[in-house]
Amino acid sequence: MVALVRNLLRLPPAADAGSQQDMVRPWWARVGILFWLCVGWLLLIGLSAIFADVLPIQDPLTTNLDGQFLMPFADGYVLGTDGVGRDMLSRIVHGARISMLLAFTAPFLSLLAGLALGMSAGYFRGRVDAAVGIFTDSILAFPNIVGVMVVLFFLGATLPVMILALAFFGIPAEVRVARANTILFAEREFVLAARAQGASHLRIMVRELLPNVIVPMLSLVLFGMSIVIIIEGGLAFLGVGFPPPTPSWGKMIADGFEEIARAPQVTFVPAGVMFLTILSLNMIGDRLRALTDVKASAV
Amino acid sequence: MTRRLTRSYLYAGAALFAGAALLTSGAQAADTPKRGGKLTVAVQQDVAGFDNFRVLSFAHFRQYILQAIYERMFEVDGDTREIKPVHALDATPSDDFKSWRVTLRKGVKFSNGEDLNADAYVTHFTRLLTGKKGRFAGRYRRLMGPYLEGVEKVDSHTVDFKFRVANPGFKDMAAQPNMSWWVTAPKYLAENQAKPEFNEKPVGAGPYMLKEWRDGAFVRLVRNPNYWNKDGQYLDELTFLFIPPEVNRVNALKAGNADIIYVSRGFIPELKKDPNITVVSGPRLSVGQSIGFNHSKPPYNDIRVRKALIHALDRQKVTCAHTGICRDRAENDMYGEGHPWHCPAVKWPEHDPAKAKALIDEYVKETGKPITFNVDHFPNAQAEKTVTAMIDMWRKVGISATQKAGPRGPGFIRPLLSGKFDIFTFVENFSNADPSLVATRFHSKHPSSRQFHLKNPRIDAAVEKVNSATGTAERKKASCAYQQVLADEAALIVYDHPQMHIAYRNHVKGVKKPFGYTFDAHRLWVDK
Repeated sequence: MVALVRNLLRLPPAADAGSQQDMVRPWWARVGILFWLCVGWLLLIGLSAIFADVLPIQDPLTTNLDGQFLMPFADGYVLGTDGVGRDMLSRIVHGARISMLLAFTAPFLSLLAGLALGMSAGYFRGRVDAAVGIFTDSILAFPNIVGVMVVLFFLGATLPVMILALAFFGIPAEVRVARANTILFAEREFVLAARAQGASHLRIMVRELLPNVIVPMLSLVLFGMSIVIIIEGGLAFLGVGFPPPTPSWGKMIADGFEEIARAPQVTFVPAGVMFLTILSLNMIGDRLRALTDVKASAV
Repeated sequence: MTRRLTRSYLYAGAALFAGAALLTSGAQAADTPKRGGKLTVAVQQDVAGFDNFRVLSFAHFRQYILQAIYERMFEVDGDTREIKPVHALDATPSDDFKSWRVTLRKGVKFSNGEDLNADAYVTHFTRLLTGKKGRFAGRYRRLMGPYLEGVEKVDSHTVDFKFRVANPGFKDMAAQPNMSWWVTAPKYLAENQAKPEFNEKPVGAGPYMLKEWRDGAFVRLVRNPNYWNKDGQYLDELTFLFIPPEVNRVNALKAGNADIIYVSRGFIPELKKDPNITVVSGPRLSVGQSIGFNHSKPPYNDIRVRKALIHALDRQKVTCAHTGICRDRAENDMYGEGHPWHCPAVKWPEHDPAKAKALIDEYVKETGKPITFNVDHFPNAQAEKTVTAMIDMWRKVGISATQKAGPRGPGFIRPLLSGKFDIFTFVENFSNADPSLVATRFHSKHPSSRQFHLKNPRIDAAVEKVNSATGTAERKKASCAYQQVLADEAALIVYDHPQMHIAYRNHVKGVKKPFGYTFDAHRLWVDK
């Protein structure tokens, strides 16, 4: 999909982002217009979510049983109404809070845990590496969506539980990247020099390795953000997401599915918003990864 | 000139006559049952097996399938509402209605060649009432009529159904399709019931028998070679496809991948637009959609609060939330429009938010406690939307409520059984063909009354009047009086009563108006 959009907009391929011609241009020009469109979309969604309570939109919980399944722009509803006449725009804006909150917490918690465990494994190796390997392999034994479903079933589908569950099942990917990069940098000259000067393990890990390891991991976080949004949608579709009437994008899609023949907009409007958000996160992640590849090779 | 005109009239008349005759013969040909062909029915879920003692399911999609395999004593013609003899020829009550003598049809055989006789009935009902130490007996009794004590053999083809109290509605109940009436071959039962595969290999006396059951995919039935009425076996093959989401079943019907489906109200306008599809509707003999209070705990033990909650609701609007298609008015009793026991005159606390607010203010002022609660509901989209709409209506009069969908599967009823609930939505799927069945569940001594913890002397007295009345008119009067007491006491909130809607492609013939909780796929034929 990313390659398709790139071709449509005639953008240079990601691998070319670090070419000689590109290197002379400032970074903000090198990332391309699509990158900034994506940033703009995410800003729009993020700001709408933050200021949802003060925006001139309807209460997302107020029903209007005289106006069910209204099409966009009918009776003053910009994005139409759902099966009980609730304003779709308002629910999408308030639903963005859930999606954005999950996207900006769970992957960062995974990143923190992944960094700590992955760097320890990559730096100390031996038993620490083996223990961390068993831990990550054990988590990977469960498909993440099934694991999160089990947790939510027993502990209840609340926001903190979902954040922690998603963060937990996101740890293995972060651990593997952190470990691999730590192994890569742990034998480099600047680390050996620090070690020769008597620096402690903690100092070496934080001051010497972390700045090099964290850069590729940040782009992974962006992919993690899109994954947690998708998982939230999948869980809502399976009926184990947030309880009604809490608006969330996944729940809106699931609610609309039953009526897809009669009122397809009830499903496709939130699905479109989710699609654009995930596409934006992936595009930004893709671009940032291309930029950080250049930096890594320059170290 | 006159002669020419007369001749023209004669020719025209002859042509008209011939045309009419052709049309009539065409219509007759279409109505004449045709043997052969295959019928595919799309249903929402798998059957989980065919032994009704092992699979304690009252689900209607299961009934479509199992009644084709087992058949029953009587059936109701959906168009005429006439009770037709099937495996039984007649049923006669004793003077006190505590016993019904049923004469069985001779020559009825199971698909394995065994006779369906009095012994088969006695074996079957003894198993239902005493098997596993009788702990499941209540489930069957509530379908067959309360207080069934047992079935006794009179001669080889006559049995007596014995009840502890009068049961004037027995024949109506016996005509309803449910798992209690589906008798299996006694010798086959004795030899095989301990085997694990017994649940997968049914032997019934219905027109069709199992050819193949692919778990989660389909059940395929073929003609039973020992069926008693060979003229009534039209189809070569009857297949039930399991397609869980309703929208997919509707699409399967439109695409011609299914011939007939059960459909909810929301899809009717869409299906009626299709010239190849016909929709017929009839009453569903169940209690319908309601919500019940936990009467054992405050504030629901206070009639002011219960009435306030009903006053706050626009019950007619709630019907819009349920399927997206509004009904002209909300249901007002436990039977619903078209049901023989429907009571149209019952009056409920009217929609009056001001009155609701005044009652709530009075209660809060007196107790100092705000009214907040949770509504547990069935885990489907319709129930969820209905409760969402109700909560919004309550919110407008200052009541704060949350909602929680139960887990999928039978576990959704756990809060009700444990008593840990405030308000519980329920769709009563048990047959309510007669008032002596689940409609009387709110009597404090009814086994199900503990679910809602109702101990209301007015309701008890009204139920006792229903149970002691004899004669159709007297029973109907008592039944409607009971429905009014339920409304006056705000014992529950009735809001909708789904009808049974059957949508089928036009080549499917023999479809009757549904009456009950299923339709008879095994009585249909195809004319392609």
